This record gives sequence, structure tokens and C-alpha cells, in this order.
Amino acid sequence: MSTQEKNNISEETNEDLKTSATASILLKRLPEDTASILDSYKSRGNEKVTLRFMPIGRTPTLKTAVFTISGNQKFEVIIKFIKKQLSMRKDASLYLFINSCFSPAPDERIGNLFSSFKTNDCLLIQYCTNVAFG
Amino acid sequence: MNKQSNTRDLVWNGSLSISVTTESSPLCYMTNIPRLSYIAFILDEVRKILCPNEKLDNCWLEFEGVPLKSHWPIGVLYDLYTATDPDAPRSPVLWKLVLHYDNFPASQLIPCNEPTTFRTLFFNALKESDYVRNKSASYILSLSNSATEELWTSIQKHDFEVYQRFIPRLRSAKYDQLPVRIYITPDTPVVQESVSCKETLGSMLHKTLPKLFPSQNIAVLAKAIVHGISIPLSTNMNLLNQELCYTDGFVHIVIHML
Repeated sequence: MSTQEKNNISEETNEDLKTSATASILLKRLPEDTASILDSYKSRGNEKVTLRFMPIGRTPTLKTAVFTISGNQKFEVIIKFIKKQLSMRKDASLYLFINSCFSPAPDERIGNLFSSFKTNDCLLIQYCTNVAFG
Repeated sequence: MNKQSNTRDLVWNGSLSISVTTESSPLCYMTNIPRLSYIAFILDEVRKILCPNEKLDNCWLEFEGVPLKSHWPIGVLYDLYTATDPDAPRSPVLWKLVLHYDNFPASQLIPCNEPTTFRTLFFNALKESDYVRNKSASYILSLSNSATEELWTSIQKHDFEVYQRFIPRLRSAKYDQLPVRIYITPDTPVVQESVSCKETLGSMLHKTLPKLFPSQNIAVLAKAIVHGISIPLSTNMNLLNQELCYTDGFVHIVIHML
């Protein structure tokens, strides 16, 4: 599939990376070069990854099945995205599974899931409106 | 007792002393909580004592301005946010947390205070780690209802007798892959990797975070902490899998800067 056919999922700023006063005091004491190494890890996993969505059972199919998104995004962004695509209410239940197996926690990074669970450079995500896999 | 089971026992019994206060009440809740346990397991008890009229859904714990995730092992939260150096001499520590019962920080925390919602999250983490080891969650999915219940109760009640019966299957590695989560600093995204059990901790960290671990053998800029213990870089990953794995099937490694 060419890049033109892939759609981008709109992204959100991550707000869950807060630091404690104690940790931040310790980190401020680090030499400059060490601090810059740590800084470089903050943007680690920003690369775009490819997702392929598959409905289960009677859940409607999306118009496009393949999307791209930054690896630093949280899994919950995908949950919101599919709900929007299917015109579901925000509080309606939607279940997402990686490789027909497990649902990641909403705060897991997509890049991490991609690197551990991709098939053919694509992360397979099944979705349905009722529980499908245990 | 052989050396193996002794390490597992020590890890299982590792605990933290915590105190919880609220901004509005003079009461203080104090307890010893296993490092392997979760805030999700104690939050309701804390609420009942400190603010019985408030709803559990709205409750959350905070440390120095950071909302603490109920579904991360409490030992990981402690090692990450207190940035305590396990090799530095210190007197016993009381970890001071604050309970809030309004303004739930929904952009930072997953609502999972009820045991049933947390149970779903926990078993999904277990399936995820099982998938890394076995390329399917066959073991978790093959558990009977009563076995699943037994495993869940052993986690909730922190019952090693029962839990250890599940260990040989939970940590078997047919494909030799092991799921690790690495926490670099509180404000850096968590790094999750599937790594080979044949690696050493040093070679794994050198591959994953080359700039922070320029050497496989010597901790130059940072060291690795698991269960509040600094682990030598020469340690085999298989040992971490067998002895230092958390109950969700992951090896959680917190990086401590030197």
C-alpha cells in the first residue's frame, strides 16, 4: 500500500509524564552531556508506525483499514479514534485487541506495542463492540 | 530452602512502608504494602478510613505532585518517583503519599479503582507478557475459571503458597523471549522491549539504550534497579525472568542515574 493511501490519526499531547520534586532535583544535578542523553530519550519512539484495523463479528468496517500514527501516542488515542470513526458515544464500550489476543492498557505507547507485536511491519488491531477474546 | 526459592521468597516479601494523608483531615493511614502489590488494592481501604463519604471513582494518590498510577506495581512507582539509590546508606523510609478525592486527573490516570476493572487490566497485562514469551496467550487463556480465580485471589491476597504453583508455567520461555519495561526517568516514556533470555542485563541495556549504557559490563552513567535492588550488569536475563519477574509477567527495570 502506498503512503498516499495511509491516513494519519490525529495526535494528542501526553500529559502523564510528570516528575516528582525529588527526582527532578537529582536530575538537575547531572552533568550537561548526561542530561542531553536523557533528553534525547524523551523523543524516542516518535517514528510513525502503521496500524491495520479489523472488525470482529458484526462490528462495522472502517472506510480505510490502514492508518499511521506516531509511536509516542498512547493506546487510548486509538480507542477514541475508532469510536469517532464508528460514530459511537465516548462512554460506549469498545474492545480492542492486539493480534486477537490482549487489550493493552490505555496508557501504553503505540511504538512499544508496535516493536513487540507487529507483523509485516504493521500492528494488527481487532475491534468489536462486545468482548471477543476472554 | 534452596537458593532459588529463597530469592523468590525475598522478592515476594519485599515491602514498603507508606503513609497516606489528605489535605483536609488530621487522620493518617499507615501500612506496609508489598512492592509487588498495587494501589488499586488498597485505595478503597484508605478511602474508607480517610474520607468514607467520598466516591472511590474520584480517589487517587499523589506523591510530590505526581498522580500515581493504580495499575503499575507499587515498587516500580516508588523506585521511579523517589529515585532512591539502593546502594546509598539510609535509615528506613516512610513513603508519604496524599489521597485526593476530587479533580480526578483523567489525562494522567486510568480509572481502575474498582477491583473488577483493575482485574481486566491486570489479566490483559498478563496476556500481553504471555504473548511475548509464547507467541500467544495460550497459557493464560487455557486456565480454567477456577484456576483464573485462584491466581487472581493469590495476587489480591498476596498469597505465595498459591501463586508459586503458577510460576513454572507463567515464566516458561519456549521461544526464549522475555518482556521488559524500562523506566528511564519519570518524564521519559516507558520503553518496552521483547528481549532474549540469553542476553545479560548489560548487553540488553547497551542494545536498547546505547548512550546511557555505553558499556555492556560497567555502569558508566546509570544503573538498573529491580525491586529496589541494583542489579549487576553481568546478570543473565533468564535469571531476571525466573527470579525477579513481577506478577504481571513483566520485568520492570527502573534506571537510576549515577
